[in-house]
Order: sequence, then C-alpha cells, then structure tokens
Amino acid sequence: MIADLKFAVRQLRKSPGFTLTAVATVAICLGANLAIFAVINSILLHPLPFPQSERLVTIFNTYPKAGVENDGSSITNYYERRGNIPAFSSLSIFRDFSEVVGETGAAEQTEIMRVSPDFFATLGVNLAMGRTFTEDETEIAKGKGAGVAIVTDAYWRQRLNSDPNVLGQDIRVNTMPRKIVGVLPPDFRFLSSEARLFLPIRSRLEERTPQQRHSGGGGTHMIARLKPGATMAEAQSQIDAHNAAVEKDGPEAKAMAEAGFRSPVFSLHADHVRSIRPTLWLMQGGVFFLLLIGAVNLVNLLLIRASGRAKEMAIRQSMGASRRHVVTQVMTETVLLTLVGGLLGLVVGAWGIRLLEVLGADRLPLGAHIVFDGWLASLGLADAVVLGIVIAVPIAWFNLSTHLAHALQSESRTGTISRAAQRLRHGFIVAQIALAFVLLAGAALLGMSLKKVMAVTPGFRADHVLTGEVTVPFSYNVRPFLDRLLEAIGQQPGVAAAGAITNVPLSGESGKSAVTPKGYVPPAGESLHGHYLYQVTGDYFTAFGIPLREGRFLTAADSHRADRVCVVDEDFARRYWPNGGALGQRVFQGSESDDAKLFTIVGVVGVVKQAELTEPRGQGAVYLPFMDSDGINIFVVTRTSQRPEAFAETLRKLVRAANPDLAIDNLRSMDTRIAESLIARRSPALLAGIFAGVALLLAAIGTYGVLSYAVAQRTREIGIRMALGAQREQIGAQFLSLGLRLLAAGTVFGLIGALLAGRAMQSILFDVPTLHVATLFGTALVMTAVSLVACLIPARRASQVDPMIALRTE
Amino acid sequence: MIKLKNLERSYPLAKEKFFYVLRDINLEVEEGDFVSVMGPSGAGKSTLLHILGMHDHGWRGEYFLGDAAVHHLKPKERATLRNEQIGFVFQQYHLLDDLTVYENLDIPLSYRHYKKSERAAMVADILDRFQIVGKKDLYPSQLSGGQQQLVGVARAIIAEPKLLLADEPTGNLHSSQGEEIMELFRNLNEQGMTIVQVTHSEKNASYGKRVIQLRDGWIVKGE
Repeated sequence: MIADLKFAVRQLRKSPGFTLTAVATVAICLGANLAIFAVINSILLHPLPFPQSERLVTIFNTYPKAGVENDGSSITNYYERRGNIPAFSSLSIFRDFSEVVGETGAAEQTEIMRVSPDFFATLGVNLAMGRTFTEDETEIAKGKGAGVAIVTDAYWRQRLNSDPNVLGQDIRVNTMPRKIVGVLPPDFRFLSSEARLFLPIRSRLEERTPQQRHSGGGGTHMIARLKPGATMAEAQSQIDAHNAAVEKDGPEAKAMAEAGFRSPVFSLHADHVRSIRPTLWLMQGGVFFLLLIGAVNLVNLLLIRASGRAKEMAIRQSMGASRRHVVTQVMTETVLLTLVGGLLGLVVGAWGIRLLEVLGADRLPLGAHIVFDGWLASLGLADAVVLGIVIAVPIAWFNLSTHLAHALQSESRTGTISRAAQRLRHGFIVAQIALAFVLLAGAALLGMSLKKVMAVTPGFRADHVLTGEVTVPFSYNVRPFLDRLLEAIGQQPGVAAAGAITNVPLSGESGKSAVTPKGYVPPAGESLHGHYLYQVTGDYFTAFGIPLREGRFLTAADSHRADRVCVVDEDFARRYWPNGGALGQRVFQGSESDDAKLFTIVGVVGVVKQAELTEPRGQGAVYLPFMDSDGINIFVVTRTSQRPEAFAETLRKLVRAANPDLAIDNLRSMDTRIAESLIARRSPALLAGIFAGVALLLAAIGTYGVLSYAVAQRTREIGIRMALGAQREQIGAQFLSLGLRLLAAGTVFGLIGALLAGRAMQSILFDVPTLHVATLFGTALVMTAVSLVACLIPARRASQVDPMIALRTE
Repeated sequence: MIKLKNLERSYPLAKEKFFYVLRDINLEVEEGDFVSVMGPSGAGKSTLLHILGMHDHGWRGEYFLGDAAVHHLKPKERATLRNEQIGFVFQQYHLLDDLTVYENLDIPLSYRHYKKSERAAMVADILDRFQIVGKKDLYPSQLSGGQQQLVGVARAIIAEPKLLLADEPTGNLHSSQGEEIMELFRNLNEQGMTIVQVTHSEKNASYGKRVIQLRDGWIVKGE
C-alpha cells in the first residue's frame, strides 16, 4: 500500500500538467458542490435550533377563493385554539415589528418581535436569566404589558455590557420605558428574524372576540408544538374540527366557506423555507451535473493516460501482479488525485460560500445559518474518496482488459481492447457534451426567465425614488407628524414630490384585507375578494410616478376632511365595474357597512406590482387617506432630482427634527428594492451561468483531450494515409467529423435532458415555456461553436502531420 | 520520367550552419526504368525517396516528374500529382491494423474519388491478380510478413501509378518472401512500371536495371 502510494505520488509528479488539470477539475467541481450543499444543509436539511424541532408546526388562515393565500392568524384564533387542540402541547403567536428604541434624539429603528407568553415554551427555549411574559402583560386594558421586555444575549452583551444585574433595568422602546424581565440564551435566533428585543403581544379584550376571528391581516403568525406521538395529520383534523365548531353559528360562516377558508398545519421549518426549496434543489442538481462532467473528464484523461501506460501495466502483470494489485494501484492513484483535489475543493467551497453571500444567500430564509463547518469538510473529503474509487473502476477495467502480448510488443499498437477503450472514451465525451448541454440550456432558461421578470413594468417609476420606514408609536398621532415631515421634505432643494404610505411595493410585506363595494354580491360560486389596502398622504402617487387614470389623486387635505374618500387601482375598478363608472362608487372595509364609514372613490390610478414583479394581474388595491391610527409603520417616499441614496442623511435629520423620538430606517431606493426582490431569481441565474461556463470549458477540454489523443495515437496511420494519397484537408476532416459525430450524439441526449430539466424547472420560471425552441437552438449553437474550436485544433494538428516523421514513428 | 537538377536537402544547425543530407543531386530516370538506390546508413537514400514521393518539401533545386516542374508546384498540386503518378511500398508494410485486407486496398482509391462500384471492381481485380482473394477479410495481424508486404505492394499499385517507390521493401522479410516480392517488382517493371527502390541488398539490386550509389548525400556512382 505504501509502495503504491509512493509510486502514485511519483507518477503524478512526473506529469504536472495532467495532475494540475485533474486536481483543478476535482477542486472546482467538488468545491462548487460543497458550497451549494452548505446552503442546502443549513437551510433545508439542518433542523431548526430548538429541542425536537421536528415537532414545531405553523398554522395560518388561507382564503384561496378570495385571492388570499396566507393571512397569518388572528388574536382570536390564538385565544380560541390555545389549550383546545389536543395534538398541541403548546401554541403561541408572534408578530415582527420595527420599533423605535433609545433615548430622545438618539432613537433608532430596531427590529422587535412581539410574542405571546408561551412563545419560548413552544420553542422549547429556557431563558438564560429572568422570566418570560405573564398573561397579565398581554392585556392592554390592564395597562401592565407596556412595561416589560426580554432581550437577546447579543443585545445584553453589546448594549447592556453583560450586566448581571440587568433584570429590572429600563430600556426605552417607542418612547416608553420597558423593564427587562429576561435574557435569552446565547445563539437564540427565531427563524430568519433579526429581532434582539421581545415584547409581549398585547391586545384589548374586544380584539379577542369571534368578530375579529378573520382579522389577522397577515401580520400575526401562529406556531405550535406537537405533543409527543401526535402527528400533523391529527393536528390538522383537530384544527379543521375546531374551525368548524367555532364558525358554526358565526355571522361570517357562509362568506368564509365561499372564500375556501382553511387553516393548514405545516412543519414550521418546511413552511419557512418553502419558497426557496425548489430553487436550492435545482441549484444542487445543476452543480451535481457539473461534478458528473468533471468526473467524466477525469476518467477520460485517466483512460488516455492508462493507454500510454498499458505497457507498464502489462509488464507488472507479466511479473505476477494480480488483479487486486492492479486495482489497488489504480485506486491509490485516483483516490490520491481526488483527495488532493478534495482538499483544494474545501478552499473553493469556502470561497464559494463567500461568493454566495455576496450574491445574497444570507438574505434567504435561514440564510444567516449558512456555515462551512467540520462536518461539511469531512463530507467533502469523504466525497473525494468515493469519487476516486468510482473513477478508478473504468481505469482498472481498461488495465485488466488490455491484451498482454500486444501491450508488451508495442504501446502504439491498436487492437480490440483499445477499440473498446476508444468507444468508452467517446461515450464519456457524448455524456459530457449532453450534461453540459443540459446545464447550459437550464442556465439559459433561468436567464430568459430573469430577463422577462426584469422587463415587467412595475406600474411606477422607480428611478430617483428614496423610501424609508418610520414607526410611529401607539401614543403618537400620525397625521401632524406626517404633515410636518412632508412639508419639510418638500422644501428641500431637488425634491420633486414627497408622500407617505403604510407599505411600499416590494417591501416584503404584502397582506390583503377585505374591501368591498357597497351592495356587492359575488356571483354564484365566487367569494368576496381580498385586496391590498393602504393609507397614503402627501404626493405619494406623484412621488412614485403612479399614473392617474380617472378622477384625482388623494391629497394631504383628504386626511383632514370629514367625508371619507379613497382611490382605487384599475384592477379593482375593472373587477367591480368592468364597463367603467368607478368614480363616485362607495366601498367598505372589513365587515363595516355603516353608511357613515363608507369611502367614496374619487380617483382611479394605474396598477402597481405590490408583492413581487411576477405577481399576476387582478389583485386590486385601495388607497385610503391617513386616518387617526396609533402604532403604525409608515414608509416615507421622496422623489429627488439627485441620486436617491444621497438624500438619505437629509431625510434622517428631517425625521428627527419633526419628532426627536422617532427615527427612519430601512432607507433604500426603489431601484434597490426591485433589485433585492430579484435576488431569488438573479443569483440562481448567475450561478447557473457560472456552472454552465465551467461545464462548457470542461466539455471543450474533454473533447479536445480525446481528439488530441486520437491524433497522437494515430500519427502513424495519418502518415500512411497521407503516403497513400490522403490530402491534408481529408485528414483534418476525418478528425473533425469524429468530433462532430460526438457532438451530434451529445446534443441529441442533451436535448432530451434539457427538455426534462425545463419541465423540472417550470415552477421557478416566469413566462418561459418548458420547450423554448430559441433557447435550445442557442444552446446547440454555443455547444457547436465551442466543440468546433475544441475539434479544430487537433484536426488541424492531424492535417499538419509530416508523413516522413509519422512513418518513422514506429 | 524523373529529372533532378542540383537538388539539395539540408537541415539548419546553430549559427546559420546547415547539415546537408543530399548535395547537388543530378539524376535522370527514364520511363520503364528500375533503379536501385544503395549506400550506407545515413547516406540520404530514404530522404531521396521521400523527396521523389513528394512527402518532403524542404529541398532546393529542380525536380521534374514527366512534364511537371515539381519545384514550381504548390503543396496541393504536388499532392494531386503524387496521387496520379506515384505508389509507395514501405519496409514496415504500414497496413492499417484496424482495417481488413480489402479495406486497406480500398484506401488509396477512396482518396482518389473513384466511385464505389469502380473501387469494388478494382479491389476485386487486384485481389485476384495477387491471388489473395481468400485473405480479403483478414486483418493485418492475421497475415504473415510476406503476405502483409504483398498487400502493401498491391495497395501501392492499385491506383495504377506510373512510378513505384519502394523503401527497403524486403527489409523485414526472410529470403524466400523477399525473392517473391522482388519477382513481383520485376514483373511490374516488365509491364512498364517505373520503379525506384532503396535497398541494402546487392541481390535485390540485381533485379533492377541500374544502381545509384549514395554516400554522405552525394551520388558517387550511377548519375
């Protein structure tokens, strides 16, 4: 074994060019696989960091026939279900917020999570210090809940200097002092949340009534822990039965049934990563193809090398080497090669993860958990060993099948076995071309899909628009603050328009609400529909560049008028008044049907893509003036003539000047928000492009290598053919035609593979059919061009063979 | 048929010096002649043969083949002329191992754009003429050395060249096989084919009509 190892090292050192190529191939292919697998492992495979996390589930309300897929859960749902679902040992709710933390003049927007008292118990997390929230602290009427907070370990260390006596100290949240009652253990992180402060989720008693059962609004989420032995199917049937029981005599029962209301129970982990799962597995599939191409390349290089060493192997066998000796020697060499490549692959993998972070992987669900740890490194090295063993098989077969007498007589002599080896090499090239074709076609489909998404008109002018988020606490009146702020912004040089809205498009939050025209009765078999519902003020529509179709925009004055008016978008108008006439119509929000609370439509504006650019038409949006509401998140929107980001600092100062207790955060230009909304499409497309490029290069190297070897192997034959009258072009054409035949076969298999891959990718493609002829044609064209270059060099070399020298070769 | 005037072949050495393989070669070979080129190893015999066969283009001087001034021809024109006029026989036979006897004989014809039916007729004719019909489906490795060279000669003349060039045609054969091949050459020559052979063997040379002696690149006898 040691002798084999020494010999293998010597052999590899003797051919540095071959060794370098082989090691680099393994390093790149294995490294790329490791990087993607690190993401898959961290996001999809690794359990959530909670005890028995497989028992954690999430439950949300869905109204599919009303166009609302996930409306979270309501406060009422929580109180009605808590303790009444036998399959759950614990059930809780949470809500993500951005709130103002800090002293006047130094306050900053901070991500905060509001949770029910049993939230940490549901997760199975014990606090490092202190206690969790009490039931009393969740009831607004009792006035106790406003004053407590739990902090994360990081917050305790960084902001509170790891003070062991922190319990009972105050921190200022939304201008109110909160007493710290607990500190979470180190490394606690709930899913992808970056919250470092936890407050109790508070509600009034009237918010817990059956009338509020369907008022989730998408912002409140429910989690539960299954009892030991309980299954999700049991939980689902119990939730269904519970829903049926509580809805039985409810006033909304019929409407909810028509909307297809259900509360599905999903694994918390699976639900959290659901959107990204197909893309990640597709990426892993793509990069695995790359590994296959690399392995095939390696086998071909090794087969060529083995042909050159047939005599050596024959001598060894004639000297008494057994089959086991031959196999061991081959395997030692291949495993050594792949192991060295694997070690370098670890470095490539680590770099790859950094590259993925640059591409936005850390912003994926659970993306912050991506790590390259010892386990992954061990897996990488184990993969390298397995790869070495697998690729040793055809090489060992070749060596054991070589006819000893022939091999001993002459290295260049050809015979039946070499023809079989040649067929094997050619078969591998065909496979390599086919795999590269599939990768290239897949990357092209993703690129095409991205191009189509980027060509989607968002419905607003994104250029020169800066947006930022301000949280106005419960105790503040929003309107005076906004009036002051927008007036101050409007006075700044270069500002064309400024406005505010409760949610900007593509912000990541996109809940819908029930808004219905007065007197509207859905046609038989249809349900009431959910629509986007926002409050706006100032010159929001002008600042965003949303076109007016009919009537007028809302103005700041509308927020102060007694008569209630609103603006709807074209989709909303067309849905309810397909023949026009939306102006002057009246709509109501939720179940409110009091005439005094109806909103009169005064304008119709263009449709804006709210949730994502790929959102289908027909969602419908209603814009209301800002009303007196407490505790609200506001996006301030400014159109400037300068670069939007350059206005950010001024905006910060203006917010502080308007109210020193408030701060603006999440400052981004709309161009940036659009770009960020495309991360889940752009990054895979870019990665697939890189994989396809490497695959193309490997296929070209493989084709070139095999044809070059064929030319070198057949130099004598070329000389004879030329001596017998072959023209140089005929010799060149002979090898070119060999390359083209391999290309044609690879392309046929590649086409089949590309069709299957296109079908598998359909769920993540936008407006691109499975069979996209132009993409396949383009892929074939690129493959042909690259293969032609790879074939032309050896073909030209063949045509340049000097017959005099060739005939003396033997 | 062949006229060489002041033909030289050299290879560059360091500092603008040259190593001369052939020097000032002046030679005429009449149509129907049978010339044996002899001389010690390194005398330039094979080089001369490859120049005549137009495998080597790095020479200076004048070379006429029939009416064609080879020295004025472009490589492609030389290749065409070679295909029309010259056949080659090698010491190592140089049959293609992966092709049968039949396929080996077919190769020169395939490069000369004969129709398939014509090629089949010509191959059948030569198999018959050389009495190797029974061997047509065998591979070279299944033939003896003499049989392989027989196929080599058959392959060289199948396209009916006017000039046959042979480089040590019996060098790898035992004496009886060698005699058989030389008898074949004599018959071909008697039928009008011009032959130039390179040989070390006085006996083989005796089958020809005249001998040219080369030494250190110079013709020392038979110019």
